[in-house]
Amino acid sequence: MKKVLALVVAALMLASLMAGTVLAEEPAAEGGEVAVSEWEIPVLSAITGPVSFVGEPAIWAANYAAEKINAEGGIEGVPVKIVPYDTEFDPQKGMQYITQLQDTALFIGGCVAAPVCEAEAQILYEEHIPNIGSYVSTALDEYAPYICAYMGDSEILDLELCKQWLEAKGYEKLVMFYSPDDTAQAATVERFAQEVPQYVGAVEVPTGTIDCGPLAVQAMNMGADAFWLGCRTDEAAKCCKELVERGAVESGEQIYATFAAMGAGFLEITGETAEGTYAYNMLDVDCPEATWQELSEAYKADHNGDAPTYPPIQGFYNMIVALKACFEDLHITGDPAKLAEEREAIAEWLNNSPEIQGCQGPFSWMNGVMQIEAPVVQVQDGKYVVVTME
Amino acid sequence: MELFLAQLVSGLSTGGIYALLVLGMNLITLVRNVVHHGFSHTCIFTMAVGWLIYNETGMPWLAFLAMFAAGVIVTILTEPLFRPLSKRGADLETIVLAMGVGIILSELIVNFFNSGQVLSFNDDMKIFTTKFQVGAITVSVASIVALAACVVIAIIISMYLFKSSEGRAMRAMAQNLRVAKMLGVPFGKTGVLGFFIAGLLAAAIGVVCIMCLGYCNAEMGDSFATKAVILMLFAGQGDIKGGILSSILMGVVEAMALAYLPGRWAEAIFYGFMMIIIIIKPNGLFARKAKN
Amino acid sequence: MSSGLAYFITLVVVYILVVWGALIPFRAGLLYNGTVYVMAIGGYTAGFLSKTIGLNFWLCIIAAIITGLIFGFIPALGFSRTNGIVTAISSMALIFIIQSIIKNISFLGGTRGLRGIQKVPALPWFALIILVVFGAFLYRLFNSRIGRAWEAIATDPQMAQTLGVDTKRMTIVALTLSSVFAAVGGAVFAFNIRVIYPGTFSFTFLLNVMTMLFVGGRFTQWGVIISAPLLWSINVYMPESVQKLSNYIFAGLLIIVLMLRPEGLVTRKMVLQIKKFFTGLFHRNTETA
Repeated sequence: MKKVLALVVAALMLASLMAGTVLAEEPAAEGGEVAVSEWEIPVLSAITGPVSFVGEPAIWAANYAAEKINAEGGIEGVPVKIVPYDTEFDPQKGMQYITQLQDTALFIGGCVAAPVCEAEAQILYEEHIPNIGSYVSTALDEYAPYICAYMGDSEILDLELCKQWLEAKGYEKLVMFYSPDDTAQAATVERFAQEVPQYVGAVEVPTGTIDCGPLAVQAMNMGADAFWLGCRTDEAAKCCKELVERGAVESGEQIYATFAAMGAGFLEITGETAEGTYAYNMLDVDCPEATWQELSEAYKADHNGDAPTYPPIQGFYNMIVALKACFEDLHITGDPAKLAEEREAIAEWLNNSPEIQGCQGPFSWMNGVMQIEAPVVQVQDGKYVVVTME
Repeated sequence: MELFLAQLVSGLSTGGIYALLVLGMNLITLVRNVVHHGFSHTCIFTMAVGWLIYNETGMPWLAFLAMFAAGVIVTILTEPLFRPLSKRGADLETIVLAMGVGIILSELIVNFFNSGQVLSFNDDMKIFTTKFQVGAITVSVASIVALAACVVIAIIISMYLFKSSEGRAMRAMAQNLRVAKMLGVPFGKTGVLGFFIAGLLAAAIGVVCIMCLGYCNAEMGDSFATKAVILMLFAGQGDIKGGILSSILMGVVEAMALAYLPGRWAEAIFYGFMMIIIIIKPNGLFARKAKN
Repeated sequence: MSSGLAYFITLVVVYILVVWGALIPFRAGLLYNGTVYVMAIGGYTAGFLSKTIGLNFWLCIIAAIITGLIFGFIPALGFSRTNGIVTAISSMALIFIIQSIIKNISFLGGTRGLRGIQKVPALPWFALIILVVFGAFLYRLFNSRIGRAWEAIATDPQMAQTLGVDTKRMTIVALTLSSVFAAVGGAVFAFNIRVIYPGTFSFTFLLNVMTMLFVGGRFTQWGVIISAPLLWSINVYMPESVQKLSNYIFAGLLIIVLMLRPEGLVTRKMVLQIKKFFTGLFHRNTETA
């Protein structure tokens, strides 16, 4: 009797699963040289959840790029369609989508969060699926050539720009504020500790810290004269404010923030205290490039007039543009029978790509690392102004 | 020494916020024996409403009014959810239900206020922006006001709950619903009154948070909630005085841990310490004798 | 089996195991939130052994059971002193503690997480085998003397004590066994997702577990078998417009079920009726044969 019951339950469960897979399957398309009637590009992003303020603009940018390409005739005459997948910043969900896509997808775009990306990378590597996502350089080496980063490598850029800043200003003791929850930042700090002679210590800023005063004091105890903020916007802004108000720095110039801290709201929380602070943001919000200006206008129209400040906007736009260049260069057909070889070819092409025209000027990939200029900005009169360090 | 004092002061001001939250939770426990995990989310929600109204109208007083209205509306609307559970005496389930309420409130903030980004408040809404600066020590008028408000509100609430007849009726109902009903305490009305006060308190906490922190986001609800619930148990459920004392104490301990210990360990020490105390003294640190 | 389906089945099995882990203490009248903490321990044990010494899947599961027993037993000693809300809340603190501790252990990858866990091609089948074995064990357990003792404690602890039930010892047994289930769940989870972080075993995970437990029904072990695939498929197989609302749906369902259907979707009565139906069927068959 018990066995019967168990069998029924098992059958019910299987039936519900089957129903699910039928829904998830996609129809195959046929055509002339290009074997699909539409390029369906799956793009993963944290559209909802704790980092939705980055994930939503990213998907927006991918869609914007697709629309623009379609208006100009598509890729090889076939329109592009972005199929968004919402990871909600949860590796469990990210993996669910990757496993769903791994049997059929030619290319997978995204996602925007490091923990989800690293979970994906293993499968992408094993299944030889080309992908562009937010990766750190160690992952790029490990899973080459199938993954590429959509932003300039933050570890390398952080290091280079920070060294320039320390040299130019002649600071001697550097303290780094970073979030211990973020794997990429932890890696950056490890690297700094080895390679920057001015490094004296790091302050861990737990995500969601209410009062950053104690952390500022902890940094002051180390006798530092230069402060690097790598934590998230909220905490970075509070740390900046505390450092200035408590007199740890004479001027904002002694503080340097990375792109992670540069979210919208940084200037609102810090107010006047951020004056003089240096930062780099991976993208130049006021870039004069015509493509960017156009994108910026469209973005503002869709986002209550907010300016596009998040790096993935540029990253996801460039990703779709690069895909167009790649597909046309290699004459990709999208034929399911050629899936394996075309995946291989796309991965090779993207990993060491020729120069492509992005929304803020040219970029390319070298061993999966994006080669692109990242402007250094300084807060002047409550605005970010692009400056040179020397 | 100067740095140590600086830590002490910032610990006290964080402790003040914790104390107010624990006070609100205690109030709900005394009224309806519910551990309201979503109370902190309600506070953050009122802040978000205040932010929205200020940005739309530019009138801080209207925004404050809206906050109190929002606090009361949210708590009064959620009160009926707890009723069937309180009637069944399912106290454990109320925690889970309150978590559900918290998720929905956080989700609303993420979806409808500034598309999930940080909400930072204008100086108009912070009221007291004056700060006294002695070296590394910052004493802001706002945190003094917060601490004072905490004490005053606590005294008013304890007077009300322990001295007035309505207050006694509320406590009776939370302790033993059946007996209270037999004695003629109206179940619905008393609960609504208690939650109404809790709603006002939630908005008051929102105002204090605006003054002291000057910003909010959806995640703050979660980080506040767990700390406040644990702090409440640490002092003993329903112990108003103990709650305030232990909140301020833990605010200071946390500030010291953040300053003198690596950040990765601070959380383990904070929660580990609390858990051990709770296990050793299940009725709270300040409980004189076992309730049973 | 497609890869997406394999992942889905395995994840559902993980959730069922962990929810069963939460169900055992509930039988003894305790709301225990330490399941996610033991999951982290089970997951890291299996992940670490698989990565560094290449231990095979089943040995990793056994190792997870052992560590689950040990690390479930230690807090259980403490929680045998407390009850009700105090246990529920203070066991939540375990999640934050274990996260902090793992972050500080460099050989487990610290904040950077543990990568390179072996791929197990037959994982969904293995997971289903584990599910059946543990399900059968749980069924026997709930119908044994221990199970009845728990029920007595849940109904009235004082009465149970007067009837000669050692409530303290029974609480420890319940929490320890619960930890074994959760640890195995964690180990299967680690093999499924193959990259684990301290942050993976978070408060959100606990909320998912609680929702599945309460929506499915917390008085029988069968409820979660329906609620887990149902709730998880909202995230996966529903159109995107519905997925966006998944948090509202989770929380809303939780509230509605708690208010209106306190026993959850699958009630004790329902199970009894199904049982009766099948016994009737079975008897008629034997009679005609």
